Amino acid sequence: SCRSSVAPPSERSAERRAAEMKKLYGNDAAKIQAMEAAMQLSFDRNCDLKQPKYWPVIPLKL
Amino acid sequence: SISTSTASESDAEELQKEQHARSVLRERFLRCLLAMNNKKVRFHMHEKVEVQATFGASDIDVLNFQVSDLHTPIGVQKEALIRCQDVISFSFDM
Amino acid sequence: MQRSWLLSGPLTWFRFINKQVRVKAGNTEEHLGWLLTVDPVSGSVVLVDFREDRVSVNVVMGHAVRDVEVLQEADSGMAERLQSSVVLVDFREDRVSVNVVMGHAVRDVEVLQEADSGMAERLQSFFLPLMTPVLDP
Repeated sequence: SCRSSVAPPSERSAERRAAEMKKLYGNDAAKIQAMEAAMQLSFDRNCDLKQPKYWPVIPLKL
Repeated sequence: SISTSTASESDAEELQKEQHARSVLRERFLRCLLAMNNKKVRFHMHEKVEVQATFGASDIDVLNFQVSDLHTPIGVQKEALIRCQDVISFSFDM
Repeated sequence: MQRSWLLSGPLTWFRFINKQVRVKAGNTEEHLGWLLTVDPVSGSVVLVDFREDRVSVNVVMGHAVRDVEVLQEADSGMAERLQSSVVLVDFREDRVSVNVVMGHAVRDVEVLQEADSGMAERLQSFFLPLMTPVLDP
């Protein structure tokens, strides 16, 4: 924990995320995290590329 | 102290079962989202709104769907984000 | 039926796999189908329906689920149809695209060529984090 406290914030949050995943998915954590990373990457890339706008503009359900 | 160690052992076993169940469920769901890429998807939304679009991707928290060629009641939007909270269900054919 | 679908938890959701269910959602919707999975993050229910020449997939968002009722269990044939899936991998220049064909939708698989050792290794490494899950916890 001494090491993580001096690590940059992004590294610390990645560590926290990995620990969270381990708690949720046990031995399969790395596999699920890899699949999620691939999916989020393609979502982020598509959003960067296509700049989609929310539809409808106002949420139907608040 | 024997009973506590047995209890914690069965707790650990229970936790492992739950982790396994969660990961099978999640992997199946992620594969399903992957399979939807580029498919025509029909969204049934609140307020009886029905739209159709070509599915792009979902964020991992299932809060937003990125879609193309969204056919809305008032026209086509080339690129759009749909809030999952607005959606009741969606369907597609394989 | 559990008081809140979203709070049911993975072990409860897991028990619904391979069951034919009726899901009530929103104020008026009702869906019938074979339950493929429940997303443990959003509680969303994935239903599969086999119709004459096509397979339709229906996803009900977790927050909209009001009730899930079991109608019947899958026999071994139906369970297999639901479970098996084929993953096709296609390497194109600098990117990898993955195409998942649900097992029940597969009509025919034809061998075009064998992988050389380089391709075999690429495939192997690609699948390391994507191995098929074993059912039954």
